Amino acid sequence: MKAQRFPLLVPALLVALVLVSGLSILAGKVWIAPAEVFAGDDRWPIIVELRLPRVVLALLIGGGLGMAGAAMQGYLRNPLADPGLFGVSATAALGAVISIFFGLAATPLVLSGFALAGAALAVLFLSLIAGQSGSVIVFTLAGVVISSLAGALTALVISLAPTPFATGQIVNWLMGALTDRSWDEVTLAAPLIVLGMIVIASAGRALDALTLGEAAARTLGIRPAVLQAQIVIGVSLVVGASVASSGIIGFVGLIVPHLVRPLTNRRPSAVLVPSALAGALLLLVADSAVRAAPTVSELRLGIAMSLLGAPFFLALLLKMRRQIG
Amino acid sequence: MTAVLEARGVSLRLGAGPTRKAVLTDASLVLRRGEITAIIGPNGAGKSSLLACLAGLRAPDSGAVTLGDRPLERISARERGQRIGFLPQVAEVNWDVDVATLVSLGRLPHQGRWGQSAADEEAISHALEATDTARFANRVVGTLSGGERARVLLARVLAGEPEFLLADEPLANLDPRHQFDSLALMRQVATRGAGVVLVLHDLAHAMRVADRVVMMDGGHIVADGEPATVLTPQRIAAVYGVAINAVTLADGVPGLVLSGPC
Repeated sequence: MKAQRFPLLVPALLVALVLVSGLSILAGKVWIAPAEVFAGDDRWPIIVELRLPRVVLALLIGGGLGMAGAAMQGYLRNPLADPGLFGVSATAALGAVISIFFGLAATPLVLSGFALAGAALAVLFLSLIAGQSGSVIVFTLAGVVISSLAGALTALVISLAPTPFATGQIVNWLMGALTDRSWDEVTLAAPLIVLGMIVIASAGRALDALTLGEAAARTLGIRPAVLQAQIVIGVSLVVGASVASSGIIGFVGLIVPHLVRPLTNRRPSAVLVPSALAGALLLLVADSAVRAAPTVSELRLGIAMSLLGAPFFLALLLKMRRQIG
Repeated sequence: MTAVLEARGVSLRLGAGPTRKAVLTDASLVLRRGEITAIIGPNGAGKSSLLACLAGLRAPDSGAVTLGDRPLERISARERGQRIGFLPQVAEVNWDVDVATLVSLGRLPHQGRWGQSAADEEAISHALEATDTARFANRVVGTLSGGERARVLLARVLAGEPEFLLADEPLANLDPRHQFDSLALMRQVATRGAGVVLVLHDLAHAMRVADRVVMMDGGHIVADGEPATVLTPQRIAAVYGVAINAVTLADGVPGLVLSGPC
């Protein structure tokens, strides 16, 4: 096995993460100079209560989605796979939307709890539909079914919303953001996302074997049903917890593996950790940008990611087309 | 060293409902280490299905496949991966990894949690040398020709140092020269003590290289024995519907010449 093409990839990403995290804590609508941070300044709460949880959440969610995207692409052997493909993000969003519909979202963590329940429901349906077959195709189609059903139900809930205010609240939430997140969201999401990432990382060897196709992988000692369970549970933990704390943030899981793959030896397992680090970096940069940008009301992170992601992905696609063509 | 891979009365049906079709019926054979066995037969005879059962990829509907004295399903997936190497018919490689990385995947069943040992690395470089692929070990798979890719995938299986190597049409993408090189390599592998099982379409190759030929037709094993006793003109006419002439080649080796309607 060859080493990564850029052996310094992981250390470089780590250094970038530390620098950007530091900068993100200091920068915002109010700039706090490094020297003033520990000087007992009355802006201390801005850092501890507002910026720090937001930075931690961006790191967790970006890292989780980046790694989940890399795992999905390796598992489905398809560079267009995305962590949302199993329908988990759609059902998590549906859960959250229902809690807003019933006016429960004001109570802390109720919305997150509903979202997690929605994600769990998707996993339950997935395992019922796909069963023990371990078949990737049945499984992906099951995800598509769940996704469109959850999408339709979400639209239904929006159309039935009791007040225009509730409609607005739902639509706004669906766009995804890290605005005004507290340590509550961090304590809820952190263990789930970290656990999900550990489960995903444990599937690395099996994902490598899948490079040779399903039959060859099985004769290399990979059990498809076990791998499927690892991917579903890992990705669902990450995606469920992410949607529960931030709404739907697209593109991270899709783009990031493509960014780092050329810098690795392209083995699926070798892409996992760099994708996590790069995902964390990307989301942190994007969130810091929307936070510091001089707009009247803050641009939603989900929108910013898509605005940033779509053209970027198009450029990547054109480059790929040149290489293939 | 004496463990055999054995199929006993293996039957397999594929599909569902009214289209469910028997692809293997009561197939029995014993594979020994150190031997090259060629499985031949017309398209749809059940060759690949038999190989899939022997590799543990398909569980027979009745009968059993055993390695040593244990049924395959009682052996852990990892141990099976260490002892039985399988080279699929389709040369699938999903990511544009380099050759050395691809070949290293053959060591997955042997590897501990923390990556490659010295033995792994030795087996990999051995496999690269044996298949004459070491000189492009750093190239990515996407830049290889079909023949180069076939050899790299063969190197992947060899890197696992299996007790039994099962290959489904391993010569399909190779030019004549590399076909012979691959067969010579299979002979080396057998000489070193592995059992080699090849699904082959070229009857002349089967005649030339195999210690033993298993002929299949319609899901049944219709003949099993030394090449000269199995590959008779009568039997080939009955199974394939083509005429064949046994000849002696310039190097004294028995050969086969086909003749057909055109």
